[in-house]
Amino acid sequence: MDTVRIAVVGAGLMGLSTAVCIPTLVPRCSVTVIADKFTPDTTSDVAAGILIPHAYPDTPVHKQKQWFRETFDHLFSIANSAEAGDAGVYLVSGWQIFRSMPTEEVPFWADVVLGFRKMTEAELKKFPQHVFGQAFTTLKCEGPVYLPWLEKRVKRSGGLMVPQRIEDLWELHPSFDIVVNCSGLGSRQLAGDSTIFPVRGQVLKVQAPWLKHFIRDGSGLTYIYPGTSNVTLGGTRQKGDWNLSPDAEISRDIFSRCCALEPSLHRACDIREKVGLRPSRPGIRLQKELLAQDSRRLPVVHHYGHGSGGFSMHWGTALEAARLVNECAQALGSPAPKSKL
Amino acid sequence: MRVVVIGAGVIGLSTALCIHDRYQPVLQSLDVRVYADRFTPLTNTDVAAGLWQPYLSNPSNPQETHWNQQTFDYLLSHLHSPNAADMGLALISGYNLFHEAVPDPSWKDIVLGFRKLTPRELDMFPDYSYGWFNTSLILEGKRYLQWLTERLTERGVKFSQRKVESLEEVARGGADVIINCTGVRAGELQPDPMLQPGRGQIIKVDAPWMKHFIVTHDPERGIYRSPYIIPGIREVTLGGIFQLGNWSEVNNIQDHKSIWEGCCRLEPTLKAEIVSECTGFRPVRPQVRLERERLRFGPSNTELIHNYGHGGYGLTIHWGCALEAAKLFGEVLEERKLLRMPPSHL
Repeated sequence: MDTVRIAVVGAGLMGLSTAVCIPTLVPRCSVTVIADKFTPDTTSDVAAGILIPHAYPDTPVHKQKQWFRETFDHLFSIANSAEAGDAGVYLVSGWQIFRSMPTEEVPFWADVVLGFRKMTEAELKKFPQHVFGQAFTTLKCEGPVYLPWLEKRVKRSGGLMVPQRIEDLWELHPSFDIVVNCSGLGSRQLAGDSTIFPVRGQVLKVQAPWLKHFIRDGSGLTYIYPGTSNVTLGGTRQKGDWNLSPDAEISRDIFSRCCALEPSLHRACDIREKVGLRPSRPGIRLQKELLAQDSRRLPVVHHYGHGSGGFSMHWGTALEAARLVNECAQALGSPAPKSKL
Repeated sequence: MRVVVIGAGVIGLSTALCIHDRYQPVLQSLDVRVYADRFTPLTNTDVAAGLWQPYLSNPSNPQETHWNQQTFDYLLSHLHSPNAADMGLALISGYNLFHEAVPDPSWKDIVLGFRKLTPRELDMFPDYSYGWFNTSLILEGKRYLQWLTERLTERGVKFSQRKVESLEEVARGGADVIINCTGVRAGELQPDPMLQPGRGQIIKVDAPWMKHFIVTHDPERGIYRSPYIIPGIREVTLGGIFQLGNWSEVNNIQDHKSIWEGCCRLEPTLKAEIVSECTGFRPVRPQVRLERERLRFGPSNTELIHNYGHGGYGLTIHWGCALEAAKLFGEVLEERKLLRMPPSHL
């Protein structure tokens, strides 16, 4: 069998992690990652990368739990190894707090993170506006460090990075046998998917090295995530907003909301603004599609639409995408007509 | 009323601040001075990692438990202010690790969210089979001493760099009350066979991804002789040395190896840059000496309040002791009928 030539479109978290997974499952393949943006200019570079899942209404809960668990376990072993610093993965503890009792006191992912429990009365005193809270230890995976580390892994297994903007997936035919579409919001154009839309998020990256815990308001709108080289303060959820320029008024509002939760932030300095457009969709699209035009055939595996839950789910969904790619690869090699896909 | 505090570590400066704030409003003539031969960053307080955590076993003096609690509550109340970072104060969570099950410590209800470690958490530390998780506080010695110095300077408290050779010299110099916060070298002013140096050596590294403290315990080796990793505001302190009776101020290469190997084994991610290494002396004593003594030099009496011997838990207990020292000072003022208002006005 000839080498299966695989093109991965998109070099964000999904593109790179899928590119790492594919060679482990698909025998004799070559992987080429093609994208207009690479780290540090992707959406994944803006995200704080904290592993707290986002709930997808259209994806079954057991699937979300499986992907989260796979991602958590994978990153947990990296966090405890000598690679942790190079990969930008480490443990962080903190609190998720609620202004009113949540409908679900124990979320589906409670037994995946470490040491999950309700906050004590004494702990809640720190947050007088909040009535309930959860304390746990989870992982933080820093885009600007993790993505370059993934790129190194892709290259080490023979993969190539090609900076090029793809306007149409057919451009990849016939140079490639299988296309993996990890283009996030780009899928509106590349896959004709109108169900994916941006949810704009603005964040501040500040210097406040004394902060060792994450604090997240249960609404998901206000959060403080301490990182290796800065603290991420957020945020916003602006549906359908494509504007990538930071808004000063919004920055002031984010800062003020975060200072209300953590007054020591008044001493934070070197404040930088960033904007990312979450590739939001009612459910993650993990699906094979056989594109056909005249006599041409192009197998595509779609792997996009993670919204706010990219980091939390990425390894689980990348493994699944790689399995789908393998199915495509097996079908290519079989003597049966390609339409059997 | 001239008060001389001898010693400018955490005990000296916090006692000076506590006494000043408590009694200056009611005693206009209060004149507080701090005498010391070493100021920050050269004190033992500067070497400490700054984690609030008492010893595991109950102190022989039950008052010490109360002083620990008072200190924690005092620091916790400052956490909500924007000043917390200026003070070198922050919340920190982390792990205490053991080779076998141990009883819960007396301070389990003082710290926040105390619980046992789950099996998955213990998997991270293959050499250990039992442990605790809790949220405590970091109070970085160096930053805190700078903050205390600023507060004292604002209040007009004078600092004098000098080596005090004797209590008599200070008394004859005009001090009405002497607060003895000389820590590990208290024996130079007044012999104290119960006081010994507990030499410690630490390595500071740059490892900003570390967000938790990890303190290991080995009952066979004893307290502070087992590796510990304590993140501070910017740097992470690695330690695990405790040598009773060793006065050597020089960093020891064997100790360096022992700390480095022990901590890297505990935390494999620690391929970190070494920023500095230093030695300090914990003022070890079976219990803190916090009591009055009356001295007589010539015609006058000089009141002496001892506040030293806080071992490896000085930052942990300092405010409770400062409050107690202030209380003893209040007794002196009452005896001398110097208080203008009844104490309840304070």
